[in-house]
Amino acid sequence: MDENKIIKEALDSLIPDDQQKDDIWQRIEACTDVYKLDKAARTEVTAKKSSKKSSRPSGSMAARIVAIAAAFVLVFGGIAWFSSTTEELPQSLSGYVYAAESRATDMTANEVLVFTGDPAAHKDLDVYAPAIYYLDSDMLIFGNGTGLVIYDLAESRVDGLVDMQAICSGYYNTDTIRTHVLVQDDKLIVYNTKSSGGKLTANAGDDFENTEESLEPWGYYHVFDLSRTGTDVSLMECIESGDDKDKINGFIEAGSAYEHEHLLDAFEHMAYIQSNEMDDIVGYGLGSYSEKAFVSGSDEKTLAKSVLVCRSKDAHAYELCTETGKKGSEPVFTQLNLGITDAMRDEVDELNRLPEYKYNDDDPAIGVICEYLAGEYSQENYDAGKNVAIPAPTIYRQEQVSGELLVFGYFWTDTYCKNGNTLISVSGGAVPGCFHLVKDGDTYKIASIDAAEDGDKYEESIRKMTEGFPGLYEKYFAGDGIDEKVRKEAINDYVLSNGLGIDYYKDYGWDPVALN
Amino acid sequence: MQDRERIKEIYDRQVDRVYRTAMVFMKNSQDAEDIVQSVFLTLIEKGIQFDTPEHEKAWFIVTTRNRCKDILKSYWRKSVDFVDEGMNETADIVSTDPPDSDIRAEALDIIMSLPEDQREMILLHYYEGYTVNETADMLKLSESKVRSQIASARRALSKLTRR
Repeated sequence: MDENKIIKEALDSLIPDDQQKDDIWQRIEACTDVYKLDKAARTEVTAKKSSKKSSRPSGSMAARIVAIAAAFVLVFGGIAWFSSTTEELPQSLSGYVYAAESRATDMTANEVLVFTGDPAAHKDLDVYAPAIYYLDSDMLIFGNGTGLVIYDLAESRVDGLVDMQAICSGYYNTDTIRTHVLVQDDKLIVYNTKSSGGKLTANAGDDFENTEESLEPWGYYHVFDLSRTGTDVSLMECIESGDDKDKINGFIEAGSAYEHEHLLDAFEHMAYIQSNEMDDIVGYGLGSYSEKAFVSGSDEKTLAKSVLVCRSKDAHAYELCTETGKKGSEPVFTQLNLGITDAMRDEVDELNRLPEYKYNDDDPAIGVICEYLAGEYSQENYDAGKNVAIPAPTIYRQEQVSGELLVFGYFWTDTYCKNGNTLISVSGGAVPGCFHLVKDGDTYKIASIDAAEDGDKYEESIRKMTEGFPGLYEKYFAGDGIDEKVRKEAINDYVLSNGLGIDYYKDYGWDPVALN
Repeated sequence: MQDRERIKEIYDRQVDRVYRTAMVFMKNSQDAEDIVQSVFLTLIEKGIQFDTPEHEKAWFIVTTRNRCKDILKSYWRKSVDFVDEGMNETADIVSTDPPDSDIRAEALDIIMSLPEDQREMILLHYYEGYTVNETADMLKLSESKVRSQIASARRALSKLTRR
């Protein structure tokens, strides 16, 4: 048989089925719809953000803004997919994306400080301690996806804070979009990049650049004046911002050099990080250290590498750990006093308390299952209102058999905590299986649950569970279990029904997903 | 609606190619779907216009390939287990094929077991029909390297043609 023909036929089979094609197209449309909506929302949002906020905006306010924006689009933008009336597509949608993020819920100074500076509050956001962006004998700047802290080392006090969510620059532990911080001539510059593969020239096929990752400007940059920091714990005002691509490209170039000069992998380059003493410090609890060491000093004698360290036994404070280049020298630990009090922690806990999950859709059978799952996961993870479990079941089929309603599906549940305008996934679990429900008045109650077994018994248990229902067994192996569309809808419903100021949800290591 | 229709037309025309290319690299459908979405969003975001059908085809292949390589580079920190899981997926696809496509299934099995660069050559040279010269140009590789990788892939596949 002809070799080429065999290969062609073999690879011909690697195509998505119609359902997959439709699903992907819907996801693409959903993304572009968000862009479109947010372009219209911009005016409303700008007005909202320019007024001094006396209280946290409610979910109903957010919903109103979205509703007004939708009306704006319908009236002024037409119902076209893009507002453009020509055949040309917009050259860049970054402005739209920025507008999407302008719905960010501003945090109070205390929230930014606690989420950035308190290891206990930080533990659900990252496995590493916050990154150091600047360090000299007087000043330390560190931060994460929530905020930046400008700390006066001489006076042991916080001189300023930056709310990274409010300036749409909270992209840490993400996939493609990343936030960078650059300190240059008394200016603190925050900008974002989007990574992409090799760039293409106009004549594709003739001249391709190589495939190394390249960083492109994304969203807006913001500049803060470090000479204007105060002596109280307050949020700093931005002195300049914009989306000028040339300017951001300049920051990318300077930032790459800055990162190259000042940041090193801590584990590889700090001897102390690999020591037994550090193992004891970090332990198996809350302990952590910064992923990157900040390098300061200009020559071998003054060269120092520093990270923030949280000791497991002291869950509420970071220390600055500095290792010099001198042979045999012990690291120096400097206690940071961020002024975080129990009262501040309580206040932040209260602001970020999450209501219990309630099913709000109109299928009583699914409702019973979802509330059961939420209850089960909450028992393990519900931490006095800090976390909430939101089920996102993928239902394969419902069958009425001998007085029982059998609901087959992949029952996924994630637990989230609130960080400003984002729900962060802190744990999750799935039960592929079948719920047996019986009628209970107008609703149902759970009679029993067939859950798939683990490991090599998985396939057999699914086969047994689906016996007598043709086509069902395959469904458990056809997809990937969790349906991101269902998950997004479930989170959206939870957010809207509780009037929460949440705009995104996020999994560790992935870009945040904007809610509608 | 013109723009939406134009993109939808391109989507219908290219979705199989993008998905197939992504599957050859990623070996699992979830990543392949994500990559299809990402590639089309790139098309929309950048407002790419194509001069010729060949330009369109090449853009999708190279953009998909680059996106896959980006993801693969960052896999170590995300989900090593998932990669292993995904490895089995093509085997599942193969095993559900009807019996009369045994050779095709075996060929797919062999292709997927090849190293990444050889899989890429199979896709571009044998399937998409690019010459050695064009493939080398696209991937910024020397012609001799392309020839050698194609030869290695061909050796692995040769047992199929000896049936």
